[in-house]
Amino acid sequence: MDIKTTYQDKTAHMKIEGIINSENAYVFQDELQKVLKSDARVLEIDLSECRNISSTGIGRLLLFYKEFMTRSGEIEIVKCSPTIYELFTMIKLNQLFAVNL
Amino acid sequence: MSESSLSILLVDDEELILVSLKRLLELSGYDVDTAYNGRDAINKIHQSKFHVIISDIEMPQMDGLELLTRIRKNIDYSLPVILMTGFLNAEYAIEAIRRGASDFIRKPIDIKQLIKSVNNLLTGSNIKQQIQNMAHQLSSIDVEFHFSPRNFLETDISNTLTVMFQQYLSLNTYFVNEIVLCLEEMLNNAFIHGTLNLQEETRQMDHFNYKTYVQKAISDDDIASKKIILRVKLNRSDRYLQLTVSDQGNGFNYHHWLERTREDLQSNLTYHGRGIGLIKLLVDEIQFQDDGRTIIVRKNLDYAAQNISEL
Repeated sequence: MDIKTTYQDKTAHMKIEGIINSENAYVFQDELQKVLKSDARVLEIDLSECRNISSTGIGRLLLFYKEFMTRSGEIEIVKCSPTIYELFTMIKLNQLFAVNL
Repeated sequence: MSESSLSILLVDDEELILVSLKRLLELSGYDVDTAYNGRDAINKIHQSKFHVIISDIEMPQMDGLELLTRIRKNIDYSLPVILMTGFLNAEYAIEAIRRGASDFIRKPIDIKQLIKSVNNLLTGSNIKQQIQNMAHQLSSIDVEFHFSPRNFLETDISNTLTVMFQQYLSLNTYFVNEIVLCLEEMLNNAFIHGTLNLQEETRQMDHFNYKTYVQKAISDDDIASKKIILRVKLNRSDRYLQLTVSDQGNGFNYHHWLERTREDLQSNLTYHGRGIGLIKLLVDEIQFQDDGRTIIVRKNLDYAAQNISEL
């Protein structure tokens, strides 16, 4: 898995390639922690090159979501593969934040 | 392997190199076409079938690394691509391998080395093609893997099975992504609960402490003697792929978890049970046996076929 995050104004843009699984979810978590420590109030995640995300990865994202919300933060999945879109819709993560194909 | 009908696309912006390499490769019996940059090469790859691509890295418009990336992503992830460069350094080589280069050759070109590389790749590619042809005739498989906790950590099971499912069983990407995600959840549960019996506070540790804890745990002979068993069963006549994962732990009250996922899988922000919930969403059948030590999931292959026709 490869994660690249860029920051502009108060927006963090994170692009993830590969698979987020139980083995590498900590890398994702570390990157999310950096966003929490920054002054970003919006996190845009590009998952178009992310093949899938395990429950551990989803768990990390949800933990981040809870904390980011307390700081009035906003998450948006700006792009994702059909597999991820279906998965996020099925577990209704699209009710927590915007999920775009 | 007969070389008479094997075609190579040679990509370089230096005409002198193109002409001389083309002649030498043709003398070795290959059909050779040429392109001056990556963009030109992509057009030719779309128009004709090539068995090997040999490309320079440094070129205007679209360089060799970008060409390689586009071939792997959009055209064919198994098409052999040899990259050539006059500036061979570790950084380049790592980047080329990361993007899927089949071989890496230094300029000025040693033609014997180049032909040897082409022959090796074509032999490997031919064997792979034969395996794929066989796989299309495959009616069923039933294989079982036994992992000890120590080799479980050393084996990249998900990626290995992804290759097996996609390349050798010709299952489509959507189907494989979903089934491998289930497999990840099943194996992870078998390892952290069924084998290591990890408690919540351990799972919440930071990565370094967690890894240290796990390494210490599997050095214990009692834990190391436990097995995680994975069984993969494919049946094309009855149209299903079935995965079974068993551990030798204490089992768990799966009725409780299944009930919970029925009640409120959606918007479930709690830490427990999300994995089982995901599995349940992604497969057609889920079954537990042996007090929760064994989980069996089954997914209909027609979903795979349907997606192939949609793509």
